[in-house]
Amino acid sequence: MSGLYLALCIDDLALAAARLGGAISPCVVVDKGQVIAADPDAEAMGVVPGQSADTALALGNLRLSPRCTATENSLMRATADWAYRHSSWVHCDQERLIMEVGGSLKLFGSLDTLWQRMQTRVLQRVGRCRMGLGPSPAAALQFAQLEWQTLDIEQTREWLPNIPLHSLPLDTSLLLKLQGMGLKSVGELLALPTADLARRFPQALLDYLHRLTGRRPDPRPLWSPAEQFDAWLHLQHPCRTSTALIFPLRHLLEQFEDYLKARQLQCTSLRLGIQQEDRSTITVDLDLGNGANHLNELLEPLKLKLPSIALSDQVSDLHISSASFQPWQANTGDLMSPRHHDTEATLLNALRARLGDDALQGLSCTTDWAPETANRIHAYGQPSRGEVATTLVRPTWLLSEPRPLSEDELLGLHPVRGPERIESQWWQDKGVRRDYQVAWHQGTLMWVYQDLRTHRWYLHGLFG
Amino acid sequence: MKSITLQSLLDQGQVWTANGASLKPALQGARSTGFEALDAQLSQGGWPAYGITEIHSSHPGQGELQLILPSLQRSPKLWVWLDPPHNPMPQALIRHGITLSQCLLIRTHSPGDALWASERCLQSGCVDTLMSWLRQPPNPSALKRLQMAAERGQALAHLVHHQSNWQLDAGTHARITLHPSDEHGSVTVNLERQRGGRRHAPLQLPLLAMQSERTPVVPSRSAQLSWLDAAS
Repeated sequence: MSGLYLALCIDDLALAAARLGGAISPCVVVDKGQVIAADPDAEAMGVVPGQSADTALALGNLRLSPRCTATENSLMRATADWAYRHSSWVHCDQERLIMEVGGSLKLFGSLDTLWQRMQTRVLQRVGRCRMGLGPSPAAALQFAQLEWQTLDIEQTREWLPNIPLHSLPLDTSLLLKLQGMGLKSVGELLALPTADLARRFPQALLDYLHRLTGRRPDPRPLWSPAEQFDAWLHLQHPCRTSTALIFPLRHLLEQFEDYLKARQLQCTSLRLGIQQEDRSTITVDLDLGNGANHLNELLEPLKLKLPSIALSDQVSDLHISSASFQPWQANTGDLMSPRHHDTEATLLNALRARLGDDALQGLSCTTDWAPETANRIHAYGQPSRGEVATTLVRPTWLLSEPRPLSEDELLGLHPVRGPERIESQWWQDKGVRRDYQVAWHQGTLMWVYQDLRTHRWYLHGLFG
Repeated sequence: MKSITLQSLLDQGQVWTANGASLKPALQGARSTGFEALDAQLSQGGWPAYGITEIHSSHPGQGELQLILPSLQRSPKLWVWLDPPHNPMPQALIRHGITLSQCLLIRTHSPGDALWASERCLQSGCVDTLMSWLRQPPNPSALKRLQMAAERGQALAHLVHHQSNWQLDAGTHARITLHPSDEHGSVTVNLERQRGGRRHAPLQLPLLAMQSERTPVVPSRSAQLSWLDAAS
């Protein structure tokens, strides 16, 4: 069974990168003093690629956007990641992307749906693009470049012989030679006997023709999502306030979401680099606890974190990277109560982001004798060593530091229960040696002890 | 058109009845406080399924935890301790049947953060009970926000405080004050105000019951024998 391939030629990547950075229309992208892309509004003013930046400025009231290849690269990577969600055969070569779609037609319902989906998403993200469908990767790419668009597979086979020879990616000398022979289209070339072709022309032409018609396999390096995520965004309008960064960050996180979905992962920690115009970089590490996979789960902790970041200058670039992932665990909602609720991970991430990592604490206890070491308060989420039930009487409130009791307080105590001797690590100097008692003191039930080393009395807990 | 009967009005809890407890059946979803006498006084037959209650005592250690802990049901959701005056003791919590892994202790640095954390926890839907020791009284609008968050997330919040001058009347389901009693072991529990119910005479509940060591212990699930159950 022959495959079906979809090719995309993304023409305005530089323009798309500038738009993502906040450039407004008319938008002109310049690189090394030369205009390399202009949007329709700018073209209406007479700006065309290839002009010098000065000429463009003279033509109208424009704001030139410098080119940022890092942003373009991450945009292209994100597009490839998105394509990877639809097909395992994705080839990405600079601004051209080819993917196999025949294998997953059933999944999308019809070619039409997939085409629409592709077009809207790609249009929204990278702007204008040419798309083509063909029986082989080379043919699909050729149709995309010629803008011969159809959803009919038979039609593409009929079109194949009509491809003009001059559009093929072959040596100019070879193309001139073919033209000299009066050959104009692929069909005319294919009509010649193969043996003649092989004798008269280099092997490369025959190879290409076979790949074009699908008679020979066309192996190409396949795209696979990177092990680590990295995305860069250059802001065309420098940003002064940290909270306003959420808007450009959203674009980066959308790319991150595609990446995570393509790899079926969830992210456990994220690093945000904020590069400022004074060349200093602020690095924000975001701990996402149990992991996040959705755009909103990623956005909320950042929204809470951003106000606490102090900027020293305007922000020019944003950078998001992450290398700590874990397999994605989907949560199934309750069918009977479709009310939207957060997951525990979302709540914990939000609390961590606003209150700091050390604000969340968990409880656990061990079999130790000394109350201080038996009852542990630790960072939330640490694996506890199991819960050890005790049969002893213990107060619900434990003071973090035992408080010495004054003489007056001591006289007001009415012991109810005890003493209970607690001796631990008597072989070491740091061990405790205490007699604990439960006692009333003015309507409060206290847990007090006498240190048998110093014979002083302390308050250690309260029955709440 | 649906006819309105007296019973339907009473069921909705919209009408205050002079003898509320006898006329109105316990609303579904209410959780028992663990004390029958208190359940009888509360208009819903226990703590409300969600909402806000206010518990006041002059200082920590007046039985406020004994009032809350029995109602922490075994549920997959979290129990949040927000800025408690001391650390809860894990060994004691286990004796009350509390799963430690469900306890989340939060320490905040500013009153604003504490209010924000309360609201965020309540509305999340994954918190069962929030026990919050706020340092400043929430103003009426903040209290309203907390109440709406509790409704959205179906969570119960106990606002415990030790200041007598707080006025949290609007919005809370009940206001309970605890006073030390003359009798050792019991605490005077005064249900001062509640929504859809009336005031009752103060109760004496054995919240701090500490019996002598030799008393034989009857295994019981009720909280009245709180301190001695597991000591057998």
